[in-house]
Amino acid sequence: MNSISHPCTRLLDVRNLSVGFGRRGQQQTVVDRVSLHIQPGECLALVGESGSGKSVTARALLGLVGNRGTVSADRVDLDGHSLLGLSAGQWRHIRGRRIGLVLQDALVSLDPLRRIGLEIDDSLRLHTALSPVQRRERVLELLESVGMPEPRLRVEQRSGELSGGLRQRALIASAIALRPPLLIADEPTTALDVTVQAQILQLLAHLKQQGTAVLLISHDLAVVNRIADRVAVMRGGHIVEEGPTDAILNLPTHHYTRALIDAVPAGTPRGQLLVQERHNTPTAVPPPMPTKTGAPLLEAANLAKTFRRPDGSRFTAVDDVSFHVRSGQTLGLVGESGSGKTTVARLVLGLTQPDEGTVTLAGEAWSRQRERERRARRHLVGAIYQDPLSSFDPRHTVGQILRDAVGSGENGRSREAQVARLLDAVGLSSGIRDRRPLHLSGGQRQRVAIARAIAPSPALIICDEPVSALDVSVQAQVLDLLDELQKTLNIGYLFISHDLGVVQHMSDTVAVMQRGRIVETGPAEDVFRKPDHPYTRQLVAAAPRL
Amino acid sequence: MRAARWVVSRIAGGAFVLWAVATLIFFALRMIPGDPAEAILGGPGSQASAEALAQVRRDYGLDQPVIVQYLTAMGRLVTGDLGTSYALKMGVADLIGQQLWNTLSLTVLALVVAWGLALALAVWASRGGGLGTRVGSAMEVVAAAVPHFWLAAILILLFSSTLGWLPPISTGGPLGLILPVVTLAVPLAGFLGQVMRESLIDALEAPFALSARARGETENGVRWRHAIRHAALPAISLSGWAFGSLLSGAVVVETVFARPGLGRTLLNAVTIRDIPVVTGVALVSALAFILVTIATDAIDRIADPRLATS
Repeated sequence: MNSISHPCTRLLDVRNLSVGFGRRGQQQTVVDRVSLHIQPGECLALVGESGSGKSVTARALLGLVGNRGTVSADRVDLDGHSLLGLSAGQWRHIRGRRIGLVLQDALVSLDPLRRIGLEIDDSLRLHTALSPVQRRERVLELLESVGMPEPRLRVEQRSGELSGGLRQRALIASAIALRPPLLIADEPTTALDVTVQAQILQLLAHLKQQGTAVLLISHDLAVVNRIADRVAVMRGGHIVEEGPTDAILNLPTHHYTRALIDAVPAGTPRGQLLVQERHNTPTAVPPPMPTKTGAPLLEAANLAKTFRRPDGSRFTAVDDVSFHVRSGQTLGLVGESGSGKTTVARLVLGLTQPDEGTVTLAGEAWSRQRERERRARRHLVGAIYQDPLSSFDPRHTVGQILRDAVGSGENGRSREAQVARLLDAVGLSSGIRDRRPLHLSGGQRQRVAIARAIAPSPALIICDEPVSALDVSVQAQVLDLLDELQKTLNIGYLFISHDLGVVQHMSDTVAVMQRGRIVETGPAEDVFRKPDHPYTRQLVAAAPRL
Repeated sequence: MRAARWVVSRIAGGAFVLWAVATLIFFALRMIPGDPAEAILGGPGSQASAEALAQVRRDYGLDQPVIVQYLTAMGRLVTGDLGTSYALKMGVADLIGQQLWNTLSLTVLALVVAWGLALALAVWASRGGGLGTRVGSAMEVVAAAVPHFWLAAILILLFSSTLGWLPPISTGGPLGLILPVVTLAVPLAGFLGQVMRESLIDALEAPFALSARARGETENGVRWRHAIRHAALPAISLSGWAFGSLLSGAVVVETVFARPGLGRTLLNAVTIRDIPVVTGVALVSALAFILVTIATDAIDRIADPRLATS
């Protein structure tokens, strides 16, 4: 009741918080005079791109910026008590008990070597005098309260043995074990499937209703829209705009907020650019080979694939899947993790042989061919993956990667010219040629991956979650680039994603996958406006939008 | 059930490796120039008569075709018969049995001490921030690079000749064990320490460590409850290999400290071409190496349950 006796009802009150890193004199300011406040039972969302300083702000509130960081502020009050100048022991008293923290991806945010029960138990052991038996009871109660099925079984499992949604629940249970009045959730649903994301957001909303103040950190405005009462938009260490969620999303005053809203692909019609300013027009790459008249570019008929599990049982990854892709068109393949999307991609790429069914490329058989016979047509199919970093040789420079992709048929000088044209086509400066993938930003890497994919003039590109690892604003740029390339080069895309907004924006037709089968297919507009199958309806309802 | 299947498959694999080692040694020894019968009778200098050589060839089965000799040797091995030493005219199994304990106690102790030193070094370096890391890594590189014979000489010079605290040769008591153990342990500790320090620092900066700190865990709690286990994993995996390197290091160390053991037995046997003893020591070392590797893999599976379930 302390908070009510306090003159204002602010649980957390921060004035002019700054965080800098590096040595004195040449300090780099990462958070610059940030002010924010939260009331009990309220959710404030801190929104911005990676590097905007939002996670550092959160860590500063927990006293966890590390030795190299210096924190200064006019005021950081929690429940009327100042958090400035606390000793290490006093901070430990705050952490977990007064403020809980939920991070992204519980696979690594919970100790993968310890049982989740032990991780939750730690919070109780550190802050209460409960006996081990009482603590165990409390751990089970907590798991139940976060909606964990079969808590007695789960308590003995480790993060790696649980699905993404379940381990995120366990992580939340460990953060709320002591019912802290403030919960900081740093990208709590990034990397989760839409329906799981919706469940986790619901759980956070439930906590909010019970009076917990939530500081939600996200790069995704659509996620924020679901539970935040107020939004603060952060850029370059500053809060550029702050206000009630409705007002910010409908009437943004700052151009950066506007750009973030525009970048959300859900609801933006197919073909319309997400980023307003245009960089260049890619024209210099030769158009792909024309296909046999009439036949679709890619035709998959009755594909089936089963795999053997480690225990010997069989598991059907892809079951009677048929679809086709036409030149210059996009087929969006949506589904949650484990639905068989990536197996379909591998079958189409000819990396895995189907048990049944056929893949036909430009009217000629593609699956069930010897690799030797396929090689001459390999250049017709390109691929772009979620994590380009792991698909590049880390020792190669961008120039080497692209020279390899151009192929050995060309002589040195024309290869160099070709590399320059590719870089230009994907909107990268030629200065990037000598850099290695590790030293590029996520967006730049994905542009290099796209340049590599279009280098041999493919007719079809398989895009497997190409923007899932990117911030919304970078994602928008990459989606625009893919769109433009498709228009100029007449490439067909098989666009695989778990993100419905992205698929809706990019696709002409959509196929929805569930447990290895296509449960619904049709023109993108229709499928998203009037979903037929219950599973599609569930997905569409769960997808966050503005 | 899964664990039982794992143990059985590992033992079968170990038996196969042992057979491969025995076969390789058998044929490799046939390639050494020189007449084995001569070696049995005391080497080329002994001027043995033709009759004596023929007698020896008959006694040792050296006149039989190679395949018969091979099968006989393998048959003997299965029953645990390692043959008779040419020089000492006693059973190789008995000879090794006398020395085995000396060498095992030396190498196992060295492994334990190396682990302790490496852990201390890694934890100390991870605490000291940037300076600790630099000093720690410099110490590790120096330790890992020091050759055994040089370190042994320095230790004798310092602790025996100058300070007079410890005996320069092994006397059989526990005091005599200290310098040989330290000589073997220090280079290995440097090596293990490098691996542990890096993974310890990684683990201390991992997201789960941040989660633990945000729960109110102390730095020591984060280190000992979470990070140390992650740091130990690669070092556990390396320990099987490390034990093998200790066995070969024992040859040098036992010679320098005049300590009875398998290493010295092996060195003597090689010098006088006592082939059954060389074969026996090699096989016993291979067996020890296989057993230790299985043991470290088992510990690895306990320390990292992800291995057992994947």
